[in-house]
Amino acid sequence: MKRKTMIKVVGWVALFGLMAALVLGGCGGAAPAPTTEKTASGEPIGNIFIAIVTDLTGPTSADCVPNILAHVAPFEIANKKGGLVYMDPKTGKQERVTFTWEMADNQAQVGPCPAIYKRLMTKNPLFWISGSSASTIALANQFEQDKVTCVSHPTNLDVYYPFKRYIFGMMPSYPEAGAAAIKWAAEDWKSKGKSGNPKLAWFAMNVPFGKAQKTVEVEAYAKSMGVDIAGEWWYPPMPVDLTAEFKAMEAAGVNYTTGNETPYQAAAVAKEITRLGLKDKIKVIHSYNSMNEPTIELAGDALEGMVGMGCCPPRDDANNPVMVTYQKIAKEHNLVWGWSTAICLAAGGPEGIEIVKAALEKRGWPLTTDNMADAWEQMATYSYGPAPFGVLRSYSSTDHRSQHHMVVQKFVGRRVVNAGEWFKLPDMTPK
Amino acid sequence: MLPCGTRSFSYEEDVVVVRTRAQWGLLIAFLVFLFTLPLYGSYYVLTLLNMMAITLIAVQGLNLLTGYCGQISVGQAAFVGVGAYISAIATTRFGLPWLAALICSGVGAGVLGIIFGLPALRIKGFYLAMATLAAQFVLCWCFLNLETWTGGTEGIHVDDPSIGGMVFSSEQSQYYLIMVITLVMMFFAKNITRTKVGRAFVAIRDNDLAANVMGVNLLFYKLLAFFLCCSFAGIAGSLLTHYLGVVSPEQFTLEDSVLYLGMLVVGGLGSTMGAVFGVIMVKILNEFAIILAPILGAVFPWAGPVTTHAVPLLVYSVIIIVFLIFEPRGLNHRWSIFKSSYRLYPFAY
Amino acid sequence: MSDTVITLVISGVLVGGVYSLIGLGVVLIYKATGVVNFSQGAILMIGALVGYFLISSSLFSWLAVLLTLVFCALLGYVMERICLRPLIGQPMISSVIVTLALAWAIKAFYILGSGQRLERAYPPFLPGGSFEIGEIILSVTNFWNFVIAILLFIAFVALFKYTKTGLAMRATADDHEVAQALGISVKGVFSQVWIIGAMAAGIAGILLGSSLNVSLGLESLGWKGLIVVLIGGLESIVGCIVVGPLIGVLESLSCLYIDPLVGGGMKEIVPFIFMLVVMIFRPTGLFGLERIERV
Repeated sequence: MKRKTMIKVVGWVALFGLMAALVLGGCGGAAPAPTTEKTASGEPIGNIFIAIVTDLTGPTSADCVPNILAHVAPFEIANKKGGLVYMDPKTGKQERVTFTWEMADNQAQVGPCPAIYKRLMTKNPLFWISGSSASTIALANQFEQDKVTCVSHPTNLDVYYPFKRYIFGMMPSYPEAGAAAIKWAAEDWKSKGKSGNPKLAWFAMNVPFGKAQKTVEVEAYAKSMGVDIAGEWWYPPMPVDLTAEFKAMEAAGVNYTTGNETPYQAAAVAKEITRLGLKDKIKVIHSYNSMNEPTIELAGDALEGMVGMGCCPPRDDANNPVMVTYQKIAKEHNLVWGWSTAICLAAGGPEGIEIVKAALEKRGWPLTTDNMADAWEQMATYSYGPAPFGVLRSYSSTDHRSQHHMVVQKFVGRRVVNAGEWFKLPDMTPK
Repeated sequence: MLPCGTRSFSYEEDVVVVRTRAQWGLLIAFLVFLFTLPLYGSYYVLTLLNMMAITLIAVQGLNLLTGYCGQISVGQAAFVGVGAYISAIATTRFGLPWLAALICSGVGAGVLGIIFGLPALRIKGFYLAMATLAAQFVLCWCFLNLETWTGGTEGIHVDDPSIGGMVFSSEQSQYYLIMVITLVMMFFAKNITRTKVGRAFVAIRDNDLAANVMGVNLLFYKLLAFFLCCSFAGIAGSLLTHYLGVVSPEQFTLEDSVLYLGMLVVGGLGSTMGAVFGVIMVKILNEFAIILAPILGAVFPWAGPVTTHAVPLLVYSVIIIVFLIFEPRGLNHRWSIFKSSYRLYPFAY
Repeated sequence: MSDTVITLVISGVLVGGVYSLIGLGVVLIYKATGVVNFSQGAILMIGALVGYFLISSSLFSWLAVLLTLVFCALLGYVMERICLRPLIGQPMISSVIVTLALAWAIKAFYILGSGQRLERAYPPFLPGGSFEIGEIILSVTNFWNFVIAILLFIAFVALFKYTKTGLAMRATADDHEVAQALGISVKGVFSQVWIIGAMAAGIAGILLGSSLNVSLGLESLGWKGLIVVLIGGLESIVGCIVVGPLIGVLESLSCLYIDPLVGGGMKEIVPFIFMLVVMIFRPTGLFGLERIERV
């Protein structure tokens, strides 16, 4: 009896002790810890911490996971070589930096973001990588308030927001991609010598990601291009039979469809439309998220001849030296080649230098770009040439709409090939 | 069980919540701790507590419906969303002050809850669970697709809450705001359960036909339970949207709804303190899981970074199942055992 | 009726067959144990993933299918033995929450086991493509799913009507205590129905996985199965087999007629709204038993 009571008492004391330790630890220990930073005094900066928030799970995780792995691959390379060594122009001494990072999952939701932000900010990150639209939307004001640099993988930022100085966008926004699809549809319709206006339907999964291309601006742009919006069909966020949607579209006389889709959804659409034999009647314009190998792997031959708007060169573009080196890195790091792997490698590599530099400058470590870039080239085995993609743009007060480049791509024989010239995206700024 | 030497000489004495000096002392110490925390607590702790408090309001509402009235709801998160959207629309579109928007979202979500609670008059058990599940899916669909009102994929950006000229923008000021409202709501919930209404709820939970025979108006009390549950959710939603500064359609998932039920189970259904225990326990475990997950991801390269989602899920499910099997009455039961044995010490009974 | 409408109706019927297939396992488990299995969709999902790994690794795809079914049976048994059996006699809400929690656990194992690629395409091993009758185009896979749902339905009815096990299950469904007094091992019956229910989910998982690829979204199809079961009536196998196609047709036609009016996406919630309407007018479903309650 006594022993039992003892055990109980000890158990409870242990439990409460644990709770108390947690609370105290949270109060005291988690306060912003002094970091190793030494302002340009010539001592090694040591470690650069990168905080990452992205959809490791959720409807878009199939994109986000390979993207984030590609983004950190160049940092891994730098670490393996013992860190980034550069000459500080102020002191004239050599500095050495290594990188660490931590990933947090916001599950494609806004809700978990503030807690993730506060948790990772205690580690004093030099900059953030935000891989999910939701996280960028949720944290944009925080980055601005705390003056923290953020590299954003997606999104609709330039439409949703007045400019944000501390956020760098990497890819065309979804509405821009929608506008590019509309532009291509209008040109394709004209080149085939058909009369009247082409009818375009929105067609994607009924989740915010899927519907993101459809905005008021894009629909106004479609009107100005002479493309009629014939309706919108959103299928449920689960694997479904799409016979009804395609038949309804056929009945409505739709010529083109567009919408945001992950490789998985694109594969489902391609399979269904091929099965129904409507491939030529209704042209599905895939989004840049699905012009890639995972889609081909999931859909197989069903994709043959389908088009889409791409924003990075095809994987096996042997003429592009940048792509060749990226291929090598992807192979070494066992990366799944996603739709924006090249862009993410660029963002972690050559463009990453700009980010590191910009972030360091904001911390009071002025360095010239050349020093850093030289250091990077010594570290990494690859150089970067001119590439019309993955250009990091800050949003200034006059140019808050990043002008990216896109290209029409096509699936031919289980490969993605360019089917046109790179073009600058249409400017949809309301006049 | 009351502390030794405490006796009631009148009804008023019997119904008082805080009875002894020791309890008063503890309560005051707790309140002092709670309201001085921003002075020495880190941002991280404040954020955690803010999210906990908001969740607690929603879970407490669910406790009134599921724990006290016995009507299961698998759609609480959607009603939190309704509150969030009503508050966002009221402040941005109609320019209402924040406090008015808070009340609007409480009432609005409650009224919507009544509509989805209507089938509860005829159905119960699994059918009711599915009806509330339908509410979850239909409402979330509406958040995304009623673009003219909800802003569609973009959601709605809202300003910081303000009362009169006072703007609550910093983490600390939001903390005070949220804590005060949470305490008021907890006190409100505690008192509802001790009145006629609460007793009617318990009667319905134990056997609704018997309750009906005894003169409990089933129609009124079941709908009242739904109204209360959903207005708690609405208020939580209003606080949440102004705390985050944005409301977006993918925020209110079925996972959250189930997690609210799980928190209730962990804490103990049908007790006000149970909800508090459950929320604190699950949220702290969640933080542990989030810290643990990347380490596991590094240890098991096959799973990789996706462990950050899988590990919390696993932790939730295991703890819910363990509590259901080994301690269905939840942490609150353990707490009351501890209290009574402490009061009886050194005697066994 | 135009060809479009006929195509939509028939394809809706075929798709609905899949919903019935998912629902059958739920009905079976409910009939014997009085527990609605909210984790049916999750079992289906992990069945599809395990099936994918086995089929793409082994030479004999049919052996792989069998092994998948064995896995599902084991999963069902373990779930029943560890999580559901201690809860016998607990209120209904416990069983709802425990099956929802189990669905999470299974989902977590799916994520951990998928090796960072949550979406996978089956190697082609079932007939795919489509066949045409005049102007009407129908999916071969959906047709086979429908046929298998019907076959399973017949098998279940036969099991219940003509075998001793079935008799024991029916007795258990009627009254646990009486069944026990008659020498039937009620716990044994519980295990059996969970095994059969999980295997039904496994079959559905392989069929759906091979036609629609494997993804986390497969879990959501479990909700469709539950809707079908609740509209049909929890105890009614006939209701399940009738309502499945009905829901399929409803979804198809909503796409044609309602979507242009409201701006798309109605397919997702039409079944739920239909379920709510049915519940208000017939609280026990279309074919369910009216329970007389006594105080």
